[in-house]
Amino acid sequence: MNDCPNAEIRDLLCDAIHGTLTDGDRRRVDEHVATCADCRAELALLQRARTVLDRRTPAVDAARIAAAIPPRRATARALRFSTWRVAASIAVMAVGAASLSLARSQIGNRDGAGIGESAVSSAAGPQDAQMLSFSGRLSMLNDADLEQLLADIDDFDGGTPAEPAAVLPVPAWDGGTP
Amino acid sequence: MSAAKRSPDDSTDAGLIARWKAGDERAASELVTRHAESLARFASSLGERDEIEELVQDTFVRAFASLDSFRGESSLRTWLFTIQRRLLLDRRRSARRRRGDVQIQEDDVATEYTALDGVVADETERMLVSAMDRLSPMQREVFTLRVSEGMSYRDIADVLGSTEGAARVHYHNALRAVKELLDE
Repeated sequence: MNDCPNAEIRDLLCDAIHGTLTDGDRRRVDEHVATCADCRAELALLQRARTVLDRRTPAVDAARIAAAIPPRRATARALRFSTWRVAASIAVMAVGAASLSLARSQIGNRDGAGIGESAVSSAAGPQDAQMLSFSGRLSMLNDADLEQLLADIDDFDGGTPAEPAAVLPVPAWDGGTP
Repeated sequence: MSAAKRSPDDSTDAGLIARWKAGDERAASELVTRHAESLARFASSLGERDEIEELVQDTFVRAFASLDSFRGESSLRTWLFTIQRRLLLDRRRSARRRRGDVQIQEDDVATEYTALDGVVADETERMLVSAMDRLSPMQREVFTLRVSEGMSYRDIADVLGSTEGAARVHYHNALRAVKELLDE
């Protein structure tokens, strides 16, 4: 079986067996194939190959496959919920990092004041700090819980509760009169 | 949605997608029914034998989960073929890693294809099946997409992540190989 030298027509033969040619191309192909034995043979080969490939198509249960597709609403809700979870996780991590940083700075300040008794210390103790607590797994929360958690995070003030009061150095008193 | 309210375009892929996004779950069934057979045929050309329905199902589940990102730059069918091919490549990579293999090539996508399944009608068809089975994996993929699905070279290139010119060359090489094998 030989290849016709007319590559342009040969490229259209597959489209011809699928009936997707424009009227103009279909006329060109018909006229060419009528006078070209190589293209007639190739056209017949392609039609037979298509038939064989179709016949060998494995059977699949379209209804079963369709049943496995999650409903649109559930999919959209799952995506929304997933977005909330990611946002809440990031927010909780950010608050945690800020709290850790704050705690470290307070410890550092207290330590510094202890040595020189002249450093600046925080006027408010850790017990005065605004607390944001959460236990359990984020994945266990529903939408309402997550929204509440995010609202709490928005309200949470991660800074020091009050401006630190300066502790001035106190001169040592030896008990005598000044 | 009642049939009377549907617009004329509701039966196209784009129309069915729009209906599904609006909450019409029957549209999903129609899309699956429309494309499942082509996907199964393509899976077969990729060398899948045993888990074709599972692969087709996973393709649809993944496609519907990310349908919002489908911009319609290619046809839905081309997009589905692309997803299925990537899924299969990922699975084979995972399977090879589990087996400790390190060489992974795109061309290996259909190396598990087995020959001659005994459903051919006559000797000529038997020879044709044998000839197609002896194509290289890439040639068989391209040949199937072109001959069985009637896809354009551009769409085939999209599925393969290749170029239109490369798809054309693979197709003509495949066709020449089939002719030569039939002439033997």
